[in-house]
Amino acid sequence: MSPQAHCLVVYASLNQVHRVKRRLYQGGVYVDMVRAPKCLGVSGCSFALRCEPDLLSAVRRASLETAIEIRGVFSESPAGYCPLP
Amino acid sequence: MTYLDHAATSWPKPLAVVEAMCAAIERAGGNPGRSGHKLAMRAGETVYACREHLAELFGVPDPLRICFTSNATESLNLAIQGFLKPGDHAVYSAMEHNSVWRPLRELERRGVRISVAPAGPDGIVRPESVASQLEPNTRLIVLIHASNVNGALNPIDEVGRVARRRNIRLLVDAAQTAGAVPIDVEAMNIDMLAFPGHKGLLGPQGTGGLYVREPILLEPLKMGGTGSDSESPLQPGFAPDRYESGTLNSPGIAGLNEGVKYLLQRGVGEIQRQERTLTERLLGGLAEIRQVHVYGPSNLSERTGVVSFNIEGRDPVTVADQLDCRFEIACRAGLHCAYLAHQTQGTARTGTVRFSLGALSTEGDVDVAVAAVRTLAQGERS
Repeated sequence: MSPQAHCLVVYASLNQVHRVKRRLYQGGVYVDMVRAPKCLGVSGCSFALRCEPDLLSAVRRASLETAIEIRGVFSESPAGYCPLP
Repeated sequence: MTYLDHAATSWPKPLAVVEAMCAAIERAGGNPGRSGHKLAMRAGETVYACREHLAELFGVPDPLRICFTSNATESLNLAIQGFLKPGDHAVYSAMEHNSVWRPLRELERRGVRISVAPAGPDGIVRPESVASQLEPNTRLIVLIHASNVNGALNPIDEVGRVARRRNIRLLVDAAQTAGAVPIDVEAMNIDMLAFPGHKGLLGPQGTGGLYVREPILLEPLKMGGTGSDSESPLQPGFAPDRYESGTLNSPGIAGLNEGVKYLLQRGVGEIQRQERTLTERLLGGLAEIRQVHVYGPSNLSERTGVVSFNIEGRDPVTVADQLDCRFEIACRAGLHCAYLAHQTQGTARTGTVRFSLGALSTEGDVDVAVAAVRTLAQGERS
């Protein structure tokens, strides 16, 4: 992943994004919410959290703690999107 | 105006409720959960904030287990129709509102068996009464938390323990208690909690909600766009999206959010204490009028600020009209959409006059009301 890249963590709905975002916020972690690009092919009308790569583990942990399924994780850079494991 | 009709809807609302609704339309008027622009995202943030505040108020561990509806009736219909299937057995009480009685009777026509747990003469439904109606295939107990007719407050926590021991789900109708009586869904073993937004929660009309405990999965009442899994022909399997098809009433929810914040700040326990003091004053005042008969429990710990009464020989609707026209007092008369409860307390033929107190009621409201009833009961007959 290039140093400029962000991560997109995709969820099924805005409600789920809010839940995870709030859990992160309570731990002092601030991330953005965005509509998930359709080209990711994850799920129609999805929303995502956009974060720095070093916050990805915190996002994954918050998702686990709130029992919210992550539909996909991607790196985002000017070159496009690349799925991450 | 002396407003004593909080059991129908609370009025006035805190100013913050009105301001938040205007702001929602002016500055956050997008469609929450659909588009990604700022107006829509702001609307979504407010909707989620309301879910969180409601979760805090009711002790709900996961805010996403609360779905928004248009009122408590819709919530009850979603819970009852979405949970019960032909062959199931359900128990409800003799104090239920038509919003429970009618959907259950309709389901009875479709193969659901139902039984009524009798209430005592004071309108309280005891856990033994509920337990006496349980059968091996009972899946659901539906119980009103407090009567909208006479204020009788049911021991939900005790019934919750009975339900939990038998692995039966408990649905509570909190139309008269949400925001007026402390509720903790975990401590009280409540599996589903139906509540209006526009009564004790001080939000606007057209708002309400339903808490559904994990892992209960209801059949939705309505289906359509949810802003999620749009490529699927089926409703999402997760809450709250599964139950919230169509655009939410986000201005209303913004107002409700402020109402709930007001309650969290002031404390529902404190509101209950104040309402009890006022209820005692109201009951005491009415008890001094010989021609007045008051219904419901006399013990303040077993009731809310909903007080039903009749004046001997007088039609309750006429009394309410006179209270309105001559004394500027707003109250409700009749059967209060709860024929079963009136049957139970013996007023199905006549109905009653109902005064109902709210978070913003005052001693002055009570004194004006008692004086007016005294005038109507004594002045014109002497």
